[in-house]
Amino acid sequence: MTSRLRQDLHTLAGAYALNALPEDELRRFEEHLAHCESCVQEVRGLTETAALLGAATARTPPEDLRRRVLEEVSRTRQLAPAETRWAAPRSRWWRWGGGLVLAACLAVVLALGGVVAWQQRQIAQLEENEESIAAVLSAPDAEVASAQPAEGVAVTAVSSENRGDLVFSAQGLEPLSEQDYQLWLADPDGSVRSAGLLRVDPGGEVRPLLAAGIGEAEGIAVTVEPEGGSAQPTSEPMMQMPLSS
Amino acid sequence: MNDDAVPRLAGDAGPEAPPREGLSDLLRRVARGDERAFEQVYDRMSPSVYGLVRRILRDPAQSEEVAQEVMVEVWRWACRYDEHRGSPQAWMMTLAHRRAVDRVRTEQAATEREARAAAVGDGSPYDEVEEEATGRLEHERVRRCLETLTELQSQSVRLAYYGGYTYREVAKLLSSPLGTVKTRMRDGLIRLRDCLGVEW
Repeated sequence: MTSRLRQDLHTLAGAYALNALPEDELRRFEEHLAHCESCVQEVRGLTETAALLGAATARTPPEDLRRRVLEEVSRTRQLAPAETRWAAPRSRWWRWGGGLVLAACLAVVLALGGVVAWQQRQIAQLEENEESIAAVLSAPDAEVASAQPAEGVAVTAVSSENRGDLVFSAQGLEPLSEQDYQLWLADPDGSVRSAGLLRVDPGGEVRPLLAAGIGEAEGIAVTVEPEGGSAQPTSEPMMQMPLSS
Repeated sequence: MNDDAVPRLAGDAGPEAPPREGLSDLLRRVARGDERAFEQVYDRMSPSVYGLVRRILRDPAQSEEVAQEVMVEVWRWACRYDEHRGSPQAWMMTLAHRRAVDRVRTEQAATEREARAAAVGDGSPYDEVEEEATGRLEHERVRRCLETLTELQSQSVRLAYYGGYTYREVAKLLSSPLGTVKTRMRDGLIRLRDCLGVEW
């Protein structure tokens, strides 16, 4: 990128904090943010400032709103979807050591070796699918990793280093509207690449996803992205999991 | 600049005036499913959320609907809030702004938006700050700080934030070059940030 273009992107920090970027430029700016710590700092301060502009408009909401909100809340399950475009410095989220951000949401359980009962159930479902998926599952070097990233959500990844493939499945994900769950592979150099979109049926079952060419990937993650997916993650992962090597 | 003349209030933490830890702690409890904590978050934040949404959408019924969506999102997504990245207020106001603007950009007819633009763009520079604001203190601080901006900075910031326009639309409305508007939004916000004493 030329420095001219970089400078140009930098001046978008104000428009970004005001939520005034059109979709295409928003994506580009967020990609830029991932590599620009000073921009992240600036965006942070400007976002706080914009919030004060918002607070200046405060007015008493209709009394009935409180009752309706509390009523809806009482029957709304909490989830850990990625938030919208909340200035996520994406260069940061992919650090195993610094998983503090997710600590409140995630309790990652790694089960290497012993395959517990529910995993076997998941694998049985997987086997109903395509041959290539079955091939990964039956590979002699297949490794199973599983996690429960949120209440009621279970994910399993089965990978075969020799085949270079990975099969991902999940249960209990809330179907999204106008957004998609996207699976990512993290490479040792810190880069992240898409492994495809998850297809969630209305019951929360995810169609097993085959990711070919995992190469040296050392971890996987799932984020919520705008419908159709993104070139790079635009939000923090709702789950991430190291792959054994 | 005349912001030196503005009396700074000791320990002024904004209109919701909870100590910053307060709302963060509450959100942590909300993330664990604590509905009592959520009620407190609602009581502190709903005037700001509703006010902003109403400022952008104008229509009371739609505003209520969107404010409800926003507050329920706060409940659902509480565990996504990361205090290292900003204040709870900013997190919630960002959610509110995006929700309202999504609604305005998808649902409101172009003609209606043009009418709105006329209302935002003309008249006194402060007509967009809610007259009947319950957040009196914040209202006054923001009003005074907006006064320190140039006309173009102020209009760019207000059209984008209160009008829900993209910077491209703002440039068209103000008949100014894109680059100028981009820059004015940034330096206008920086000046506001410094005037308001934002610490982040």
